[in-house]
Amino acid sequence: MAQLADKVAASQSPSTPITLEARNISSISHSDAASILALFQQQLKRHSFRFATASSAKALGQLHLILSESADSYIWVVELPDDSRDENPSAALIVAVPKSRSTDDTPDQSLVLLDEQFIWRQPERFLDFLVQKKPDGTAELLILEKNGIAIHDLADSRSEVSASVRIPITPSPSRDPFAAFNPQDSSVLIGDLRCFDYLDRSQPLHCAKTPDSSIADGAGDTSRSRPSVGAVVSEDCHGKAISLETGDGDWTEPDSVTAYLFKPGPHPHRPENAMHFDGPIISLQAAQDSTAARAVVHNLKTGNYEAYIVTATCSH
Amino acid sequence: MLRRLAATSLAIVFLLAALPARTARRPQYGGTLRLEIGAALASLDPGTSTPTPDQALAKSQIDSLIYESRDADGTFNGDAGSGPFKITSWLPGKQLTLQANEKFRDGRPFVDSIEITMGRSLRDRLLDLELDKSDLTGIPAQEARHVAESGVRVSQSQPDELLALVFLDDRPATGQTRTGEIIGQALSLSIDRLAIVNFLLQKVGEPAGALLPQWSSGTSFLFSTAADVPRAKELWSQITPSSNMVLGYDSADALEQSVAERIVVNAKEAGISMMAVANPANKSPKLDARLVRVPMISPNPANALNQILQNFSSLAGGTLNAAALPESSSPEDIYKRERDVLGSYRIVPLVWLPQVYGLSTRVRNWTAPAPGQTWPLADVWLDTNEKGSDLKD
Repeated sequence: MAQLADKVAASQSPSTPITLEARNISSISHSDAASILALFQQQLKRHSFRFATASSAKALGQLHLILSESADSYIWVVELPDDSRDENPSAALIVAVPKSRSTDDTPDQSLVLLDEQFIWRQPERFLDFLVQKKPDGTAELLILEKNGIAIHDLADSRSEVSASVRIPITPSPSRDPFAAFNPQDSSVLIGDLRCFDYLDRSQPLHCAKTPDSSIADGAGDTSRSRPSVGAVVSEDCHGKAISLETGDGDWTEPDSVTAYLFKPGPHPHRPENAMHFDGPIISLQAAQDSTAARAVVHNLKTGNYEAYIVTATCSH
Repeated sequence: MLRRLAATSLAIVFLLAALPARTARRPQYGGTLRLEIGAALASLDPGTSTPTPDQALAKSQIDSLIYESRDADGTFNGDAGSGPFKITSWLPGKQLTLQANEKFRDGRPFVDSIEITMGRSLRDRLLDLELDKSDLTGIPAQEARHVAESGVRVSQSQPDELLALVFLDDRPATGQTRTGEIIGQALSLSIDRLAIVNFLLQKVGEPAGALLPQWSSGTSFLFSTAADVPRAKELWSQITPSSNMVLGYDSADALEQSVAERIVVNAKEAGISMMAVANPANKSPKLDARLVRVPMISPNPANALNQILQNFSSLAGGTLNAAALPESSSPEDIYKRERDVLGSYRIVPLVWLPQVYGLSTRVRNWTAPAPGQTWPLADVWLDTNEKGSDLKD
């Protein structure tokens, strides 16, 4: 909002009182839209804009704030006053705001709060990812693909691949291979392969077929085409553990991560909170610190594969 | 520590056992997918020319099934059979049978084989779907509602194909630039796009005022699609056009023909003299404008706009600003480019059309391809148990 207010201030003089009308054509709720409008008015006041009543609007500057959205971001638009009779659209100031995932509207009753952090997107499919700190304090992103690991320096705004590590053996083909980083021993599981030493960038990974190949290979096995997608992320929340589970749809549908509290034993499970995504979650792995999970989402709106860190927090 | 680990492991086992069973909609391997298309391909060889857009689209889709890799321009290459399927039989122009590639690097497709029957009329394709003799076929957007009402399962993409009117580079009736702009503006204001969507397209698709759809750019609402006949008349009265305008359409495209005829009616209501003719094979009659369909090839707004402008600039001439925008262009930069291009009124967006497919009830894991994507037939599986009562598209 501050960025949009800055743009208005750069293009309009604050000497004339203005009116501000808002229209929401995005998927955000009316209450959120009202909050955004209030925030925008506040930002404009910081730039010395004064607001007039609607009845005196004719002689004053009229701004229209429209809350819109594209496939991957919210689009906030301010239409500027235009007195010409030209049918061309009037000049508009536009900012894009990354979408954050919505959660169910039950925060007061929920014992588990969910939050997500967008990490990465790319058109090519990837199987898991890992954000890890380098010795110099900066962070790097490891993207696990079918044939290797692509490493991106997160300090590099161009986000180009800074290094890559090849997987020397091809895993048995599967349309849905199970794959995950295991930071504890610097290994990755991909299909029926376990590969070690991904921190060593000087040579291909050391890989070997796992003894129990049925863990990872769904091809030819009609009953186990997609392993269960879920992660236990915390051990203690009101005496129970938190688990995160995806929905039960197939790959054509939007998906969600639902938090459950559970105890070992035949106790009923109650969904505590859910976070919704624009496509199926193809991987969900508990993160190393055990309070979050790594989610890989196939965004059906854009076709991109996206990486998120979903954090579950116990509400005490 | 060990006790804690054991407790956690036990908890996971209990958790997974107690959560609802989620195997009901998991993929199954096997079966033959029966696909029918209208185009008839004479050859599958790389580099074979495809005279019609339908044939070009079909060739590209089939290539995506049998080739592994793709060039930057979108064409597929490599060895035939390196893709998810291998050719097992081929009757040119009639039928192609593909078998699942067991060694495909992304894993074996779920279906065992695909039978593609070519050269089928729309009527025959729809009949075969209703009689359960086919699993998948493309449907023209204007038929989608009628087909759905007849009980056929229909899958629809986001609107991703632009139907627009383009004034040609050497248009005879519009002469000077300013006059051309006024003619384009008057004609644009005379067109009732909403009626085209509601009546000709049976409420499938959406009126277009911009070069990108709202779902992609988020800013197309800034471009008006409303008709304003009084203003169109006023503009038209400012000029003296040299002759009757001629609007061309593809005679093989029923939608283009009906839209062209509708535009002529709208134009006459605004006092604009115009006639619609099938695009001539020779140079007579000379067209002032023609209807053009341009599919988006990328969900990225900047890439999609670049490609759309490239398509239009070959028809509308060098005055169109078709310089490529960077992929990471901001929504504001994209909006400004659209505004700049449309301000010349050499291109008049009309409607956005979705891709529509008819499916049998046993087809699962089908999603209508997004811009630039191909049929996801390696991921499709056939449900031999379900009756399709809970299917979603």
